[in-house]
Amino acid sequence: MAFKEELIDIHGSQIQLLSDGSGEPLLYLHSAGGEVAWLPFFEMLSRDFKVYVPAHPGFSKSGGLDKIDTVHDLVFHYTDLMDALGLKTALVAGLSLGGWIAAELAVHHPERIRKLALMGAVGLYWKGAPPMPDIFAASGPQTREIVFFDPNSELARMVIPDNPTAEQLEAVLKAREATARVGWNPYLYDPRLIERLYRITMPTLLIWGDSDRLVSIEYGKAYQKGIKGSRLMTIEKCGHAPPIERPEPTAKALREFFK
Amino acid sequence: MQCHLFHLMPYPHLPPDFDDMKKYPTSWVIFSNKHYDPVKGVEIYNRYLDELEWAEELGFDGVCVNEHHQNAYGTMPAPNIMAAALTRRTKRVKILVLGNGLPLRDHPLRVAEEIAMLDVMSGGRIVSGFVRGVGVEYFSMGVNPTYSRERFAEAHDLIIKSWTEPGPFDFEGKHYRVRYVNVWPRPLQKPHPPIWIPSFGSRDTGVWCAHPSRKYAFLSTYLPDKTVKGLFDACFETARQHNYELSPYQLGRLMPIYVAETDEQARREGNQHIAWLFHRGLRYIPEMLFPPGYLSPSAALFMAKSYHEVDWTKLSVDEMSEAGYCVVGSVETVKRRLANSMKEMGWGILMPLLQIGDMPADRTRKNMKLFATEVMPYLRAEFDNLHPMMAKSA
Repeated sequence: MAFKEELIDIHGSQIQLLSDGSGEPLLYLHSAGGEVAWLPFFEMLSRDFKVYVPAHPGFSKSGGLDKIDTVHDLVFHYTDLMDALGLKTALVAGLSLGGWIAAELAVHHPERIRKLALMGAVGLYWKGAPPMPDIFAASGPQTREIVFFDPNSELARMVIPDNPTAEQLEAVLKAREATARVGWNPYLYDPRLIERLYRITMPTLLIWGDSDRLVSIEYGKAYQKGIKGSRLMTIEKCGHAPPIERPEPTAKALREFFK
Repeated sequence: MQCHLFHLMPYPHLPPDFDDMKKYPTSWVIFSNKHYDPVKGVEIYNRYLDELEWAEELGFDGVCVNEHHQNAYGTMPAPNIMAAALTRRTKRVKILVLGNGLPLRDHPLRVAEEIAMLDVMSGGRIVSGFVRGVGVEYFSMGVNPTYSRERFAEAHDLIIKSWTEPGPFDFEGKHYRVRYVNVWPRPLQKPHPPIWIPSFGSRDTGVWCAHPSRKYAFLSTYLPDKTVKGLFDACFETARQHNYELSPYQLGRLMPIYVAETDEQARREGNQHIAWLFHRGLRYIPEMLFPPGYLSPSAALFMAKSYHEVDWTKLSVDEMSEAGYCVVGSVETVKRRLANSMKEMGWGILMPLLQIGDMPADRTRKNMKLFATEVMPYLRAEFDNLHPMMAKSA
């Protein structure tokens, strides 16, 4: 695991960035859980791509939340980050909150994303879909129930422990605040996004866990309907976080799509 | 000493199985309002207002109302409405709104206008409390809690400016922008009604209140003696750093108090109602009590470590009484406990909560009467002994 971890300056905001691999640049935008660690999923992808995993402003070791009020400020931030990394275009994959940011980035700058993958993405309000449970009101064990296909697995208990260390607790508090900043009200969506999805013209793959209890597959169908030519696929025995709960089939699907 | 009767106006008619914590994890926000019976509401609102009005006759200096949303603990979502009712039925007492939840409001100028109205209506008897609201109330109102601290600071600045500078002027903030700030009516008291800040154990708030540019009264709620002492010491320290002497009227304590003929009788009569307050009324879901960004990062980490201190559901009433969250006892016990606390901590404002939880009217009146006739005069005399220079200024 020779991944590189650094703090880079994006117009005055210190941003934590993990990266490794070689090949076409792949920008991964993480979820509200703040998975900024070199996961097996990233290791798998780094065999074929140059994988970048930045922490959103306010998450993990990143600063800069003071410059963020809405998801659109994150779009400016990621445009700046791509500029700073010298990425004229990239493959972009986002999970949940990161999927929302990726979709907004694609709406604003379709020319900078060669291919787009949205996994369990929030961002839409869809009347036909079951409402999302309130993650801000949920306890740790309740969050495990919401997020994982198997909330009692060793993995689920490691990702969301019952008794977090001081360091884990600090990361959780930061992640909650940075998520709430853009996602408290409206609750994890942009009312205008659904009518702007037509601007997403690059090849797009939608990946959903077949048992996503947070963002039901109906939201995946709403994205599919809005993004011309997009494909929706499900990962078996998987909850809200395919890259974390089922890294192998998810990485395989992404590799085939991105290559 | 100043003594102001506090009231929460709780809704006492909870379901009989409310102690089932699985079924009813909280009495706030997600506890359905189908349990509120407005017919019973007619009776309790009027009863509670009668109690507040009677406080004037009993010799209290003031009566306190406060803002809480979507709960059985305190049914005053709009405290200025209760204050308005009191302006017409009382003549002498101060009316303390403790306080308006500034970040929860759409616009701070509504608070500026309403408090100014009340001050004029009451002939200058208003004390204006400002609060951020309990964390759970950000779920109730949909206001983004990550802006709570910013919105409070900005709303405070706008309100004070609107009361003290001639309008119209424009205000360009981050959260509030108004081209024409020009509040009619203006408040009667000069430069504006006193500002008091109830707080739930925040040292930062205490230091902010004690700053010489503000000198706002800092009020502690529901905390044990040792915590209150630490907070008040921080206020004294702030004043010393700025070369002035903190007045006892810059520190206040809100406490549930039950006084009876003997210690044993006080426990027998009072404990059940104090248990209602702490174990039912203040039953919270931790994640909802501290929503994202509501506390500063350092305060959030501190709270995560010391949550047991405010997890009242795990403390018995005797334990809480012992630690000073509340006072229960005979006249002698209550006198001694409060006089000691006043002496050791340096406060000059007491806000006794004498209607507690599901305490019925007759018991409330007995408690109020005994407190007002036996305890209050004693504390006033003790205060005058401690602070002879202030003896006449209360």
